[in-house]
Amino acid sequence: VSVADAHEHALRRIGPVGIAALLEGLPELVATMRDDGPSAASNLALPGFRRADLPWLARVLGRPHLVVERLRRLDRFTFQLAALAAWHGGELRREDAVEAAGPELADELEAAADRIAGHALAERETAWLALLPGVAESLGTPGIPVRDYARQVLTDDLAVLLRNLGVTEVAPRKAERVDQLEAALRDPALVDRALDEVPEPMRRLLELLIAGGGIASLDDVFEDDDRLLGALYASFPIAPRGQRRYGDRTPLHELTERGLLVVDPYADLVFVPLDVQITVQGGLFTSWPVTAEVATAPLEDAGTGQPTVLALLDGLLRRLERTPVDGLKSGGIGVRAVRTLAGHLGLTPAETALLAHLTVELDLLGSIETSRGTATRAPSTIWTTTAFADELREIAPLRRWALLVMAWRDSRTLADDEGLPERVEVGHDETGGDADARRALLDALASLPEGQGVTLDGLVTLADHARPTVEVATGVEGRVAAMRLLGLVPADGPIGLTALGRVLLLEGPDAAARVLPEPPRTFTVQPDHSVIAPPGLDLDVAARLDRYAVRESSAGASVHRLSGSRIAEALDAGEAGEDVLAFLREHSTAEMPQNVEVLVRDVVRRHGRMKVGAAVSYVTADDPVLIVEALALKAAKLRQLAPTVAVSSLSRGKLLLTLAAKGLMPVAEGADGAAISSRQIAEPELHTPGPPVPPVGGLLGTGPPDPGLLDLAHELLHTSPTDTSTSTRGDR
Amino acid sequence: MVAYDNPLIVQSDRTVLLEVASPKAGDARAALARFAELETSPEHIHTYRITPLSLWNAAAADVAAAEVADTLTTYAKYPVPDAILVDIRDEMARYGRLRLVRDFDTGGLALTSDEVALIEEVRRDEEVGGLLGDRLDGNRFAVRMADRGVLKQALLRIGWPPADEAGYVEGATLEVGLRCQLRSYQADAVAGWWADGSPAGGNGVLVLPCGAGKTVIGMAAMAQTGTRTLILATSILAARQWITELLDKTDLDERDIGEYSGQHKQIRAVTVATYQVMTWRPGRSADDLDDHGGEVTEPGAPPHLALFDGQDWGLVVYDEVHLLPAPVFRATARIQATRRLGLTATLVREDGKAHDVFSLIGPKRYDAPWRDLESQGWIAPAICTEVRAGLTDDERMTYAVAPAPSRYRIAATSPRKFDVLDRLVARHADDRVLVIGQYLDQLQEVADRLGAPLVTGRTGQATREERFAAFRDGELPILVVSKVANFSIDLPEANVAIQLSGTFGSRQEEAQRLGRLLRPKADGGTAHFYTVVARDTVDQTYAAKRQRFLTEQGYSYRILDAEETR
Repeated sequence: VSVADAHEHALRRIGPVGIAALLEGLPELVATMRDDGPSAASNLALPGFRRADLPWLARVLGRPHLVVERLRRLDRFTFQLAALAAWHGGELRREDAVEAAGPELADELEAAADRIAGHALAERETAWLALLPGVAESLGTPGIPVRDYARQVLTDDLAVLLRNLGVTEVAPRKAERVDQLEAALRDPALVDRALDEVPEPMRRLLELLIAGGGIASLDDVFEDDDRLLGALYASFPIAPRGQRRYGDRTPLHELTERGLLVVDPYADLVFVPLDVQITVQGGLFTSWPVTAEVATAPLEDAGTGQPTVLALLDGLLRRLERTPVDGLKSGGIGVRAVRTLAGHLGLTPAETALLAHLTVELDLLGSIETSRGTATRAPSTIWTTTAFADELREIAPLRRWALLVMAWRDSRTLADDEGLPERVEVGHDETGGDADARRALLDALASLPEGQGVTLDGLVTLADHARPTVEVATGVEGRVAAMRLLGLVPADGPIGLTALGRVLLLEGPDAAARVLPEPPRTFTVQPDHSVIAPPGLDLDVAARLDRYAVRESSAGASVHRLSGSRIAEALDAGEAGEDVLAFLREHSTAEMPQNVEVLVRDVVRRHGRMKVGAAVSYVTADDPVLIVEALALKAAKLRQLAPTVAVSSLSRGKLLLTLAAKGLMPVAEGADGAAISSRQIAEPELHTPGPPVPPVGGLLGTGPPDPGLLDLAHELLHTSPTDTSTSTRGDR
Repeated sequence: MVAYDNPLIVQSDRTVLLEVASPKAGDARAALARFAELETSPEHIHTYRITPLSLWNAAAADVAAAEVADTLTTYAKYPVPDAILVDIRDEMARYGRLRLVRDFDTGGLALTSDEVALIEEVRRDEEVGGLLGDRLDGNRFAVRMADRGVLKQALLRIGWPPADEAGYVEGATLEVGLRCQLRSYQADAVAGWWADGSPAGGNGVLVLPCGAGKTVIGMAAMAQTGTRTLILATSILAARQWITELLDKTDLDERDIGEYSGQHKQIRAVTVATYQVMTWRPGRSADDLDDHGGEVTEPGAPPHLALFDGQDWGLVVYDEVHLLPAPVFRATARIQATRRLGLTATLVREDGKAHDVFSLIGPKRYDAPWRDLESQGWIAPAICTEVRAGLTDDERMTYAVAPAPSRYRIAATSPRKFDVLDRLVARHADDRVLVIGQYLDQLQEVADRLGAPLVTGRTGQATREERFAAFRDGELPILVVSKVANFSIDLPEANVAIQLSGTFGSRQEEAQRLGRLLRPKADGGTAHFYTVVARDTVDQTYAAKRQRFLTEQGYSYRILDAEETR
C-alpha cells in the first residue's frame, strides 16, 4: 500500500468530523485547499492547479513534514505508544503495549491508540495499532539501534563480539551475524551475563550513560583524560579499516568488545545501542506518565469579566485609523512608533507591539506606499487600518477575542522566542514564531483544574508533557506575558486559564458569551478628570470611554484620565460634544463635575478652528480658466480651494490619467515643484487579502468542529453534511 | 465573590482605591493610613499606594504584615490579589533584619544583624561599604555617628531598611506647658510622631492643611519632648509669628525664646531660626537675608549651620519642610541622634526631593485629607474658581509672536484680568480680600487701581507687619501681596483670595496660597479662592495643572467665563 493510499483509507475511516478536527490544526493547508490564502495556488498562478480533493489531501498528509507536524500534537503518553509501535516494526499488539505500560493503563492505552488513529497516523483494523507507511520513519527512535552500526562492523569483528557475548555458534554470513548480534543484545540473559563479566566501575558507567539518554560526547564523559581518550579512539570495533591502532587495553574495552558501548570517533560520541538500553531498562520507556504532576495554586483573579484587551484593540485601531504611523523601510512598524502608540494605549511597548502584530496578522492593519522608492531608496510607507477594521466592530465581542487569540496562537511570523517583540516585523521569515509551543502551552493550561494555576516552571513541565517533541521552555516568559495581555490567564500571580479563557478554548466564543456575567456599565467621574471604572466594565462602554480618556492603569479596576486631545479625536470622528457629555452623565455614578463639563465644552469651542483636509492630489494652473475646465470633469473629483488651486481625492496617477483623457495634458509635479516623469508615479495600494472569519468552536479542537471545515470534509468525502455515522473525533 | 458594601479596591499595581461614600470608609481609611501613602483624595474615590517605604515605616511602628493583610481583605470589595499579600509579607520581613545600635565600647554606632550572610551582602554594596568601618566582631561593623543618616539612606536604597535602635540624645531639659487644648487630630498627629517615646518614633513629617494648627502641633511636640528646641522657619516674619504663638500658647517667656535671623542672633532654650540665615554664606549681603531664598552658589559650608551643633538641642522642628534647602538637608543627615519633626501642608516638592525628606527628617507620620478637616469644621470650607478672560486681538497677536519664555508673563499680566478683578472685588465688598501675584509691576498697577496697600519682598519689615496687622484688624479690607505672603503669614480673617499670576504651575504655591484662606472664620463662612487666567494661553495650561492638584486634594473647582462674573 502506498503512503498516499494508506492516508486516503485512514481519512475515510476517521470520517468528516475527524477530518475537520485534523484540519483545524493545519490552517495553512486549509487556506491552500480553499484557494483563498495569499499563497493560494491560484494566486501564485501555478500551472496545472486544480482544487484540492481527497487523494490530494492524502498525498500531502503523507509528506514527512506533515507527519511530523501531526506527531508534534501527541502528548507524552500517546507519543510513547506511537514510538513503541515504531520499535515493534510499525505494528503493535495490545498485549505488547500492556506489557510495556502496565495492565493498570490498559484503558489509557486504548484511548491513546484512538488518538493516534484520529490524527491519521495509524489504523486499527489490520492490527491493534498499525502505523501508516512513513510514520515510523518520521518518529525516529530514542537511540541508535544496534543494527544501524553493526552493518558497518567487519564481519570478523562481529564474530568476536558475538563470542564475547557468549554466542557459540556464529553464522557464516555478515547479515546473519548482524541478526545474531541484535538478538543477543535484546536477550536479557545474555546481556546480564555480559554485564556480570565487566568490572563494577564500567557497569556503573553504562548505567549513568543510559540514565543520561544513552549518548554523550566523549569530552563530557571522559573529560580531560587524554590517555583514556586515546585508548577509546583506538577501541574496537568502530575504527575504520586501515586506521585501526591497538593501544593499551583499558577497562572500557570490556564494554566495547561486548557491543554494550560504541565509540564513534568521527562524531566524538559514545553511545549505548538502543537495544542494550531497552534490555537493561526492561522496556523502551521506564515510565508511562498519563499526566504531569505539578503543584497548583488558586488563581488570583477568576477572570469572569470581559477581556480588557478588546478595549485596547479598539483603541489601537481607532488611533491608527486617525493617525497612521510611518512604516520602516524594511517593512513593519519601528520601535519609536510602537512606543508612541504604547503611551497612547497605556501599555508597555512590548504589549503594544504584540497587539499591533496580531492586528497585522488579522489584516486589520495594512501599509500604504506614500512615495515610490528608487534604486537606492526604499519606498516610504504608512500603516493604517484596512476596511476590515470596521467589519471587525460588527463581530460579537467574544468572537473578536477568539480571532485575536487564534492570531496569536497560530502566528508563524511573531518572533517571540526571546520574549515579546518591541517592534512589528512583517515578512519575517517563518522560523521566528513557534506556534506549536503556543499550542503546547494552551493544551497544558487546559489540562489544569478550573480556577487553578501553576508557576512558570510548572507550566513548562505541563507543556512538556502535552507536547513532548516541542521546545516549550524557550520564550515561555514572553508567551505567558502575551496570554496575560490577551486575558487568557490573569494579569498576575499563578498561571492558569481564566474562567472565560477556559470556555473560549474548550467550547468556543459563543459558549463564552453565554457564561459571561452581566458586566458593570457605570464608572465614577471625578473633578480631577479621573474616571474610575470597576473591573470587567462592559466592553462597549470601556471602548467608548477609551475614546475620551487615557487609560492610566488597569490593574483590576481601571483608572482613566479625561483628555482634551482624546475628546478632540472623538470630535474628529464625527461625535458631538453633547454626545460625549451625555455618555459621561449616563454612566457616571457621581454627578458630573462642572469643571469636567467645561473641559469638554472648551474642546468643542476650540475644535475645528483650523482645518486640515486630506488631498491626495492637487491641480494648479496659472490660468484660472484651466482650473474651471478641470472642475467640470466629475471623474476628476476636484474641489476648488483658490482660483488657481483645486484638490482631488484621486491618486496623483489616476488624476493625471483622468485629466489627460480629456485632453488637458497635465504634467506631474514633485514635492519640490519640479515636473516629473509619469513613470515615477507610484499608485498607493492597500493590501486587503480578506476579512477574518471568526471561529465558533473551542480553540483547542474540542467542542463541535468548525462548520466550514466540516463542510470541506464532506466535500472531500462526497458525503452529505447530515451523514455523520462514520465520524469520529479522535484527536482528543 | 464581590463585597459591594466594602470600600476598598486593591489593585495589582499596589494602589488601593477608597470609595469615600461607603459607610465603612472611615474605618478603612484609619487602618489603611498606617501602611499606605495617600496619593490623591478627589471627591469620590481616594487613591492610596502601598510602597516598600510605607510598609517599612509600618513595620517600624510595630504594624504586623498580618494586620496589613487583614485590613486589605476585610475591607476589599473584590478579592485581593495573592501576589500583593505575598509582597507585603516579604517587604515587611526585610525591616529590622539589619539593626543600627549603639556601640558602647567605641562610643559610636554599629550595624549588626543576626544573619552574617546578609551583613556581608550589604557590605558589598559600594555606598554602604564605604560607610562601614572596622568589623567589631563576626556580625557587627562600626559606623560613625555622623554617617547615621547617610547610611540609613543607602540601606533604604538597596532595600534593607535598618531598625534604628541607637536612640536619641535627650538634649537639655526644658519643661514646656501648653495653654491651649489640642484638637483630636492634633493630638493624634503628635502621638503618631512620638510613638510612645520609642526609638521608632521621634522623627517624621506631619502633613496638615494650612489653618489646621501646625504651629500648635509643633508646640505640643516640644511639650512632649521636654527639651531645648531649634525651630527652623521660612522667613523672619514666619519666625516672629512662631515666637508670638509660643508666648501666647505656652508658658515660655521672652527669656526662653530667641530669634536667630539676619537681624538677631539670639540663642536660647527655644531658638527660632530662618532657613535663609542657616544657608547664608559670607559674601552675600545681609539685606539678602530673610527676604529672598534663592540658590546658594558660593563654595564652603554656610557658617550658621553650626547652630545645629553644640547647643544640646533635643528637638529640631522644620516648619514648611517641603522648602528645606539642600545645605540644611546635609546638616540634618548629621543630626540623626536628635529628634526631628517636619511640618507641612503639602509634601509636594517641585524638585522631586520628597523622598529625601522622608529619609532624613523621617517618614510621614500623619496625613489628614483637607476635606475631612473641613467637614469637621476645623478649617474653613473653600470654593476654588477659575475665571477665564480672553485676550484682546492685539494681545493675542503679541502673545502669538512672542518668544516662548516671554509668553507666560504676557498672558499672566494681561490687562483683561483687571476687569474681572474689579468685578470680583466688588462682589466681595464686605470680605477681606487678598490679591496675589507674581509680577511686581502688575501688582503695583493693581494696588493703584484698587487703592490698596502692597506688600512685596521690597517692603520693609516694619511696614509689612503694620499692613498685615491692619488687615487682620479689619482696617484694610484689601491687601495686594507678592509671593512673600505664600508661607506662614497668619492672616486668619482673609476669606477671599484672587490670584492673578503665579510661579507657572507650582502646586505647592497653589496649596500655600489657598492655605491663607483656610483658617476657620469667626462666622463659619466659606472662603473663596479665585484664579484669573488668560484663555487659550500657557496661563490656562498652568492653571490646568494647578486645577488637577486642587481637585486631587478634594476641592471642588468651578470654571467660569469672565462674562459670568458680571
